[in-house]
Amino acid sequence: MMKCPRCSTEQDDSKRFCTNCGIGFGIICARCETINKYDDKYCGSCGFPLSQAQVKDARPVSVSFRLRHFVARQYSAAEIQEMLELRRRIEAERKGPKTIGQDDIDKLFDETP
Amino acid sequence: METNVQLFSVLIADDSNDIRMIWRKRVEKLGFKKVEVAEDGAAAVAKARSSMPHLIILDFIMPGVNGLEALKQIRAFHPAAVVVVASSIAERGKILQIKDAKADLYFLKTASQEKFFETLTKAVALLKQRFPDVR
Repeated sequence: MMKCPRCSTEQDDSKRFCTNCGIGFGIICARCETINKYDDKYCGSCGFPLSQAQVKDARPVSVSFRLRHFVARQYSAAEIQEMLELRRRIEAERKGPKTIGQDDIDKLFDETP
Repeated sequence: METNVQLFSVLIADDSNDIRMIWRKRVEKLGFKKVEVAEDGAAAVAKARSSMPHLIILDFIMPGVNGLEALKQIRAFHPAAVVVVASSIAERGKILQIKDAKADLYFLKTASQEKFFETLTKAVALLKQRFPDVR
């Protein structure tokens, strides 16, 4: 058994993806630190033999192994929402502050808090 | 305007002497007799503390202690005062800050004299609510 490096749930050694959070398990080459596919026997970058023992240090990997050296960060729904809100605020500021006239000001102050 | 307006005291705070004179003439025209002036935020807070004016007309942009900061300080010891913030700033965000700091009214200096008197009429209505013993 091993622990998922993201959600810490116990996962069978035979699993290639975490059954709880879905990240892909990879094997890090001990020599060049390339992240290889779970069932690779030799490192695709330097040829160093890979061993199952290294799976215990597996880091999250992107599903696409063309991006071997890029570990994609997966954002939670709350983080995505925060980033969208931030972008909205930046765009609003870029458009410039909204100015209002006396009548609108009077309405603002007439509103019950 | 009813004559008992003269019993309310007014403090006008603005860093421009011309503006202070204009506001003073306008409020006196409305019937106010007790009018004090302050040339910056710090002086406004000091005078408000010593004389507890019923009505305060406060400029937003002043050197040192600005109108927003002065408003917050005054509200701490004089929550009943009717505060009118007067400024040329028309940005909604900044005006909302003033409202959140518990200003009662906001007057754009670029607005007409008629609008000024409308604002002061509202201010007088608030004065009568908050200071019913002033007769």
